[in-house]
Amino acid sequence: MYKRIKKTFLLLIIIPFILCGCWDEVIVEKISFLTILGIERAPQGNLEVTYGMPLIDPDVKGSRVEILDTQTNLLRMSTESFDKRASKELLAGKIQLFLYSKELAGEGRIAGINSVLERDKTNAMLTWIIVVDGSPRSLIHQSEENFKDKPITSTYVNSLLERAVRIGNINETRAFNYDLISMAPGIDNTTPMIKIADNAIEVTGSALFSEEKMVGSINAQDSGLLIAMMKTLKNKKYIYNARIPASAKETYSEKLSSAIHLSQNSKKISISIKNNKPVVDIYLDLTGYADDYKWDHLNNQNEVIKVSNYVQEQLRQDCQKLIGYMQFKESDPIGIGDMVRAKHNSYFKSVDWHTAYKGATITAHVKFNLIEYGDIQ
Amino acid sequence: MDKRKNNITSAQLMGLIVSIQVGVGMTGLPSNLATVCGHDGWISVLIYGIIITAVIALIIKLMNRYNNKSIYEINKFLYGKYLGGLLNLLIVLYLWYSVCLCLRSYINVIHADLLRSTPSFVLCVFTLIPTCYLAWYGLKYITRFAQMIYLSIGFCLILYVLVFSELRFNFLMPIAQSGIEGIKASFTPCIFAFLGYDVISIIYPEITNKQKAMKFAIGSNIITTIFFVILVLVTTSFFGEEMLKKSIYPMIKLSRSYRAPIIERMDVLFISVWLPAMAMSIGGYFSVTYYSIRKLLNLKKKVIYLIVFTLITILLSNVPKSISNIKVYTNIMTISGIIFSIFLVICYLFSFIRKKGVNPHV
Repeated sequence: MYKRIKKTFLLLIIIPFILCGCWDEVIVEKISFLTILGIERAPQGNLEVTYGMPLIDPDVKGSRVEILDTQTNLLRMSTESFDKRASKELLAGKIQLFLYSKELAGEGRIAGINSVLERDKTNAMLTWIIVVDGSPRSLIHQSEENFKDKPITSTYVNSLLERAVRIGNINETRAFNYDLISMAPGIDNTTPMIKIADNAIEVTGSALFSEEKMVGSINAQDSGLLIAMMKTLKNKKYIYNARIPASAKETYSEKLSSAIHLSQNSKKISISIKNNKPVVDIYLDLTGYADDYKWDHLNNQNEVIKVSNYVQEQLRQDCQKLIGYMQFKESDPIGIGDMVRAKHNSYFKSVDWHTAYKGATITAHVKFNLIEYGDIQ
Repeated sequence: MDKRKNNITSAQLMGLIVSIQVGVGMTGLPSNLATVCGHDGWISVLIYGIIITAVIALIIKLMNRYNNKSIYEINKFLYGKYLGGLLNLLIVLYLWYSVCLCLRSYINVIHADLLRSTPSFVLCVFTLIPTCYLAWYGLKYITRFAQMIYLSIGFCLILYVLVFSELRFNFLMPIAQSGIEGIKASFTPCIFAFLGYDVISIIYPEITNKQKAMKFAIGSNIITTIFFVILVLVTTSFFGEEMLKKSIYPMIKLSRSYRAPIIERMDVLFISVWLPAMAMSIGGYFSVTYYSIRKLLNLKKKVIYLIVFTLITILLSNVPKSISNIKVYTNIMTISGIIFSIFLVICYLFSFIRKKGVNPHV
């Protein structure tokens, strides 16, 4: 009796493993993995959506990616529309890139559209959120039609972005990052920005947001400085294009500039409220490695100090200029508002943060030391 | 009933309680707390964890006053045959209700995260097969399997370490902003998360080393409290309270948000490790309920009653139809659990007045 029951139970336990997925089965050969998605403005508040799916069908020759466009009111409805046209059933679980147009980002619609990624668990929340300088639709089409020497667009852009993060040219902004920052008070988002340039796609820098709306953009070099103030440049391969002291005779660019690999030792932000205004001091401690420098002088300690001081002042000025621009645009990606909320909560509650941020006194203090200069004296 | 198959050690009791508490309790705890007390949820968890520890100590003290008796026998001593019988029936109904609700919550997680199209009924059947199998053999086997919870907790802790660099501790500031009001408002979600400790009053006679029961029962609640505090701290500092308020299962969202090399989608791994732990919440309640029914009705035909019990459980678990619907039923379970806990404390106090059956042995 016991043995029979044991066998019955064993059989019943095995059955689910055999039958698992009967209702939710996904046959890989019969589906297309959506890997890149472009979204831009369409008339009457609608969305122009472009899907890109790698073709893995040996019967299809000459094309690497299936691209579909449509106008829709909801992102999810575009999938319904594409399902009527696509060669295979669409699956969004491997989606890598969400490309938003600058105009759409400026209207503050990204977080709203992203909700589909949060709601449906089959979607990947690690999708990149990117702003395209130009039309995402045109970028996807041009990339597939003209850049035959490059991998498919999703792989290509993904690789560009990962490299840009490693070299400190952009802040990593995945869907979940973007959504949670867009909801958090006192902190604003940044996203990578890309555009078509000559025969390639280029990571141009970062888009700045204020209360979910894109309000400005900064180049890749400034993005690195922003990362130094937001997080850290430690373990990044960030190269700073610095001007160096030069004599009147030295007029060529290689004599006037140096490529310095920056590394960050520490960051400290101190905040106080004076005369009902936030006073913020940002202290950055950086060290550098001269990757590219003219043939002389750096074996001399005085010369190293001179270069260090010169670059330090440039870094300070660049950081200060960047802070000024962000204040002007009322964009607070450093999260100064979040720190004020944490430390001076009653003040934070009493003001409109973005207005207070604009009038805040924010000072950058940079300490820079050139510590390495390679194998040339 | 083969006594030895239900005999458990105090250490096994600890695993069982932790698995019942953590399995289902953790899924919605951070978001429920964020809704009622913002970013101070961890303080509430800590406070209620301490209170529950005191309640557990009183329950064990009550059980120690009656040698080898469960709450069912104690009720008859304290309140007489008829009132005691009625109270016993209510306790069994509460436990059965908990089984059905835990099963429904579990199925809901699978529905939302894994198998969207699979009918709930089918998922219920397949979920309960291993539970039935273990319950058939007795409490000992359920509690042995319940030790799996430590593996799941370990996996969660690894995930916390992995996301550590992404945490923003500013999201936890200013500390205690919600004040006393926040702590009061977090009563219901915290108590729901901690429910499960009350099974001690039912399975206590089956514990072989009762002298260690107090230590291990309190230990179980300390483990749960520490785990919940870390859970709330990590999820709040990762998502921030605003995002947390919008999530239903933040822990699963956390695993979806971690970019793991090679594995890529951590959530799939997390769910596969967490499902057995969640299933143990059901398993624990299921076996204790089945044990109670058998004990009270003195059933002989084990197979038939187990099948009938399982079928009714499956049917009842399909009553709540949506997440909002489950929340309403959850509130009823929480209130019932609170009443049951208060009742146990009253029993302890009443046992000093009505001393029938009192036979301290520890």
